Amino acid sequence: MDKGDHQELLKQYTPMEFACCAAYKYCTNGTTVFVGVGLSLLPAQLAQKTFAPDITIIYEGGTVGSTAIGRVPWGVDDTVIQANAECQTDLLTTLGWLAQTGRVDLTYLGAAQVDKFGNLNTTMYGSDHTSPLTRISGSGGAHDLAVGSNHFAVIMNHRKDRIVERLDYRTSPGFCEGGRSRWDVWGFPGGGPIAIFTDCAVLKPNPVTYQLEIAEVYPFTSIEEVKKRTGFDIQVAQNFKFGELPTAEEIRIIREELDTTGDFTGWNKLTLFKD
Amino acid sequence: MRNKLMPLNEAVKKYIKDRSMILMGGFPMSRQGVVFCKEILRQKKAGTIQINDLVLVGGSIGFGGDLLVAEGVVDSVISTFSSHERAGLSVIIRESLEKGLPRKIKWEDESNLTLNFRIMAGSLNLPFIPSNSGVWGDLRKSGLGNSAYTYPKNILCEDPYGSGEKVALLQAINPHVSVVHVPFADTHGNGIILGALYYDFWAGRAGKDIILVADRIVDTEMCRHFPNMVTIPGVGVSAVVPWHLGSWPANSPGLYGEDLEHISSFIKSSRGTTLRQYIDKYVYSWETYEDYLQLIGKDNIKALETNPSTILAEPFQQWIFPDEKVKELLSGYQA
Repeated sequence: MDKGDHQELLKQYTPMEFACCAAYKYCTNGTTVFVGVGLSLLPAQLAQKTFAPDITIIYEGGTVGSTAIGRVPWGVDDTVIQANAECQTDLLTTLGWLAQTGRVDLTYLGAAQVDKFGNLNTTMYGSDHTSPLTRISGSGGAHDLAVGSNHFAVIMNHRKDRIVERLDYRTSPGFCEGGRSRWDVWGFPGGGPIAIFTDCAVLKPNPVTYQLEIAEVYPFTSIEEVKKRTGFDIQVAQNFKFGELPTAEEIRIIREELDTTGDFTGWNKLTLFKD
Repeated sequence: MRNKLMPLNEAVKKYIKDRSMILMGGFPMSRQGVVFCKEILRQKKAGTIQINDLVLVGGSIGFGGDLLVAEGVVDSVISTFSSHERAGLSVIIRESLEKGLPRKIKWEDESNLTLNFRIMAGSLNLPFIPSNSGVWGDLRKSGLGNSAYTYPKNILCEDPYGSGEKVALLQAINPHVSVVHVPFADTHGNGIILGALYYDFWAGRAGKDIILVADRIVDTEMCRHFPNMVTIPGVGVSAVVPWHLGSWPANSPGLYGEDLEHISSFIKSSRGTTLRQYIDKYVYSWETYEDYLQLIGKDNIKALETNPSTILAEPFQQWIFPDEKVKELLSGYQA
């Protein structure tokens, strides 16, 4: 595909729509999926509306098995997800019991930075945690889910200062210091990051070194481009493939039912879509 | 049991001292003691309390905590999150941590599980508690520096029973005061929560004094009909402050939704002169409860109360005391 075709694709789909459509396929019907809000909520909802109607969505605040009423939730504590839950419980139950005992199959997380071993920073940019250059949000429940969830997936932007050799702050553990250190040194119950879905590629851990590799590149870009946007010397996975185009049905559900305003995926800013 | 209803101003006067460690219940935009925080600032301004160095604890210190930080009365915060979720990062926390405006607070980062554990340990009168969370990474760095609350953080320990498992020993937190917003409470202090509980099961058991801010006061008969609905047992609660919409602009599931428009404009206006104007208007300009409601706006309140979550409160309407009855119960309060 040449540069002109790339430009055409980005008039039809946004990079975050590619990320969502790649990420939702990692849900399995009948399992429990733990989500935050915004981009981390979209894949779970997309899966629920397509091939996985029987997943149970858990929000850390304690809301289990609800669907949003009327609009996209602004937070995990939004009233629009609190009216039709199967169960309302607390953080100690969601993050302490369910997540630490193998009862959360997949968690979708956001992150500001990820390092080569899939560890996450959601706390701050800078070198001194008591005087950050930029304060971000903090852990919330991310650390606990990264420790305990059977697997987690990350959805984030891909830039040199985001996908990095070394984190500014180590908020949540991925594969820690690499290799089997996550289990052999630290003994964490969960399986760590299954994949990082960025706005240009899917990164997955190498099965031996547990270092992230380029597993997929979306069809509007190239391996060289992805490498250029990565802050460490990233390898290409053995079973590398180019990502698929989102289907018409996936795009319809995202735009008409889930992210109706385009706040999360940015589809409302596409130029071609309007005509 | 005695009548524990207390006017808002009296509760602040009685329980909030300089260097008080205040635990705040709720979540970033849900069931927060916002009006309680405003009253702390109002009384400081009126000179009835002298406070300069509060210590705030909470999963999120929310809009109320933001206002306290903006007015420079906070020394340190122990929390997990400095964002208002979809509405954006807390500009006020960023200004303080990044630029020292209006003063540099000390910020201790926790995760939602480690903070919950620390609060629970304090509630159960344990000095520390082991945890899987908090073992790896920079959550182990203390952010409190040289304040009076400094301590070595998350000491690692191997299971003394020989499993080989590594845990972090998290130190208990023992707040002076815990402020928990609830939709319903009776005069005995039994707190009934609708919707997700967040931290509030343990926040309602933490601290020397537990204060509930309740949207509605209900007849104790409701507790007797549904004793399992009581999340926070009144027997351990010190005071109940009746204040409908006390969590605004945050929500109170079952009664009213989050005021998204106000939240967005608050984030946009939370620095410089627009912040000054905001605080003057929403913290200091009002006197009575009626003034407070007027600031939110009659039509706006109606819109907030038209919310899908109100279905949660429907079965309990018959036990809600009317405003006149609550006024009468409060009028007997003697400081």
